[in-house]
Amino acid sequence: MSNDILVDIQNLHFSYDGRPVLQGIDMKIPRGKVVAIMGGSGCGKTTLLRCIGGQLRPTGGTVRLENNRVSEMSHAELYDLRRKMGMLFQFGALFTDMTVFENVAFPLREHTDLSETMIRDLVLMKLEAVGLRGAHALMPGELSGGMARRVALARAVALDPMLVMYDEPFAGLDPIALGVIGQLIRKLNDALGATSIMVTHDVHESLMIVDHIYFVSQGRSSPKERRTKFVPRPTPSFTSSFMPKSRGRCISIIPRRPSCANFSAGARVAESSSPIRKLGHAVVDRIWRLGFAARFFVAVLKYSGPSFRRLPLTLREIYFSGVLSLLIIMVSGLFVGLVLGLQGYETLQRYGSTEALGVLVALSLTRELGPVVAALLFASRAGSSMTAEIGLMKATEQLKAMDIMAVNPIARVVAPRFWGGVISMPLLAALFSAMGVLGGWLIGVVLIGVDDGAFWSQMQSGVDFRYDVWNGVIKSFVFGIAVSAIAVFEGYDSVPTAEGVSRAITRTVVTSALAILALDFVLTSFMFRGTS
Amino acid sequence: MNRTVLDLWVGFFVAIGIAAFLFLALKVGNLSSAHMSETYVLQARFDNIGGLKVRGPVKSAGVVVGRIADIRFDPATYEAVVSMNIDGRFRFPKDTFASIYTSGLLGEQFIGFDVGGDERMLKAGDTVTKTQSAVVLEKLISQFLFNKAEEGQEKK
Repeated sequence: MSNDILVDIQNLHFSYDGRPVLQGIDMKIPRGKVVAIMGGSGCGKTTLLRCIGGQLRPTGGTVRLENNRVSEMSHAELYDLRRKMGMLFQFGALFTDMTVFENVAFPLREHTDLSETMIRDLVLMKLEAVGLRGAHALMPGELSGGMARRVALARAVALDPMLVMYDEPFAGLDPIALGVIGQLIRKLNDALGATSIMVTHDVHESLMIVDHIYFVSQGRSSPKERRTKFVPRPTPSFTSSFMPKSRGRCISIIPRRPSCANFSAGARVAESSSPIRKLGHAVVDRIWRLGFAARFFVAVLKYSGPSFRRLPLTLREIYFSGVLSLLIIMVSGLFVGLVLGLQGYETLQRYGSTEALGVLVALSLTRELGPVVAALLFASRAGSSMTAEIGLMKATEQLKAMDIMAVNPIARVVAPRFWGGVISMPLLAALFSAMGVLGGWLIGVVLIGVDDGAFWSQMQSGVDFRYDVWNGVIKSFVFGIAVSAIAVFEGYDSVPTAEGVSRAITRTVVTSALAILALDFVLTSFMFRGTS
Repeated sequence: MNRTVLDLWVGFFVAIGIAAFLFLALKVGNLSSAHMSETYVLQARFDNIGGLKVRGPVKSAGVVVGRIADIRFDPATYEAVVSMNIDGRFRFPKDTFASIYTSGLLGEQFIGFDVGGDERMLKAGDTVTKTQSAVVLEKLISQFLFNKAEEGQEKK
């Protein structure tokens, strides 16, 4: 019997922050079948799916896939298992920075050592299967909703998985695309000899293709009543509203306690609590976030090795954070130098020592303005876009999609961005300072007519390599770490909505600016303590 | 974007970043000539060092020959003990005179070596015995006023 059952769920419990979502679910999913899990919104269907994929740990009960207990596997074992799973996310979750071809090739590149020609053949074959061979060079943004879903389907089955999971495959599609996707799911399942689990509330489409339907109902009934042919007892009206005609298929009802009501009651209590309670909550929340941040950075450092071994990933991020900031940094550096030249000349003229202009410009740039202003510009130019990218990837479930494809998003997305920023920052600061010195020279020597020799020689005798230039480099390096860390963390921790991402971007810029200035003070007081 | 174009840009970026750093190091920070490969330590005791700072220059005939490494207060003699790193290429006679000068009217203070005629040279760790303390502007002015006042009384 166990050979016919691919997924076996027994007495599964799951709660979010003590709020029960799944209570005592039992389910058996036979091999080779297409199974639909139905139920109203917010009743835990997707949670159930994520428990099967091992993305969520159940609070009780077991999930078995073949003979592996998914609920008790280690991270590495899970990743091994997930290579045999495919998943289609609600809105496709295609990687928006890659072409259609690259998207479908992604699992193959990550998990196989196939040659480039083999990958090409396989990808085009999968695209052919979903009828989109011609679209391989397009970007996901250029696809319609239905096409994107089909590409995502091709990606989900790229590794010929034994289990394919679909999270609302029909949501937001027009009737024609709906039919196409439905037929594809059935066709691919049979062609691959896979098993499909589909979470949906689209009764009509599901009935055309599924072998078996499970209901997750809002009702409250004893677990013994599940898996009977059709049990309308929990809430008869609920089931019949979903199922006008059952067509004699095998239908199961899964009992579940109403919990949404509890949740909203809890929220109301929190709102009406006293200011001291609120303060307490805020403090606990901050501490929790700090702990989360610390764990996050341990993970980033831990997975930095793999991302460095695949240098192109980091190079790409150096391009985005460094090369694209080049123009703004150089132009700003030049202007800051020009202003320093003018202002410095004006001031020095009063003391009759205008030849000290060089040393004034160079010292203020290498010690302070270079690292600090470059870091501030870097935070608003590159840091904000890092946050936006990671936040949007999270909001569009791209990170989850990566995770279910057994690719660690911290190693693949976060660590390369972090190191790209850390490497770019000192180079940008050096460029900023150099451009600034040139700007000061332009104003002082070329425009105003300070003696060229005096300008450079005063500068050289006044600026010390070890204390001024090198300390500036150390500063910019520390700022680079701080800004990149804040940017990737805010992106990763953002609330996955448009508003959440925009808030995260604001937080990145504001927190980075504060961090840069505060760190600058701390570093300066350490570096120049003994010398003045 | 094409892989190779991207690599090219990153390479270009890293190259000009390093070039900028080298510019700062060599042209601005003057790493090449300020770097003294080999130094030896001399000490000097002063009654008053004025505004002398660590890392200030040590000059002989106006040329920088070393840097001030450390300034301490000796509680036994109530003197300031200044340690200097002197460029290993230069040797100075035993009777060299170390004075504290000011560059310009309000400029930084430095130690100047006025070389004597002794045959024997100062070795590493030696103390320069002949020193002249910094000129304290307030003392100078009060002395000047005092002299003027005395002159005025004599005329009467």
